[in-house]
Amino acid sequence: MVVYKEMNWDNSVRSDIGIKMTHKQIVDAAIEASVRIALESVGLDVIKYEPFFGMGERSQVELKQAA
Amino acid sequence: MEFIRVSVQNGHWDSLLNQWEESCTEFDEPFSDYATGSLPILRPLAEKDQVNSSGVFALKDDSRYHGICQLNSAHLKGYTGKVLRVRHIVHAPRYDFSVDVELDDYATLLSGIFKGVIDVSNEEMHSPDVKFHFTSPAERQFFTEFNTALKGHKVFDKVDMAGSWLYIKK
Repeated sequence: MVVYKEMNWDNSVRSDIGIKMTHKQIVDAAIEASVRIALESVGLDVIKYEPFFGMGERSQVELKQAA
Repeated sequence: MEFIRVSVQNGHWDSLLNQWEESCTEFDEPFSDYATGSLPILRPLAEKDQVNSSGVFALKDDSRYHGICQLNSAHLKGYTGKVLRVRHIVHAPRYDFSVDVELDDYATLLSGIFKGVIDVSNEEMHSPDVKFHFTSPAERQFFTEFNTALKGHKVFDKVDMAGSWLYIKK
């Protein structure tokens, strides 16, 4: 999770561990962390074998054909 | 990694198709069956004359195209500014067929695409609002969790889901 509390003169911010971050870096870090949480929730098996962003479509076709 | 426009005109579309076809062949999979719900829709967009308000974009490193999506920025009813709509996010075949791909790799790919989309919405297709479209149950589950997690960071004015879309107001 991105934590910040102090605004600098150049519109960057300072994190709790003292790292100066730009607004873009904070947004990017929030996206990265949120994507990871969401993927962990979905789980690797679902990601690999269910329809998921273009993947898994072929296995679904094969399942339908087999049925 | 860079998030770049992909078109026939700039040569990236043919490079991407050739690379992804080779990748399918390596895994003994027919490329003609890959992402059949999206690639046929992305193809004409990459082939036509390019305009600033829409196009196909890819996440690419020095050698490989990792994923693509369709972007379209337009004025929509109910919004004060333009809305950047993101549809047909497609992973490269390696992410589907290789047994060596781990959760970290999917995270890097999707984060790269989402960050690229936000960058485009701040620059080339300036749009105060961004909407991500999803289709499958797994994608819905992903965006439900992504929505909750992203809200917690409070980096955007608003993050929400409605229908088959995730909304972000920057």
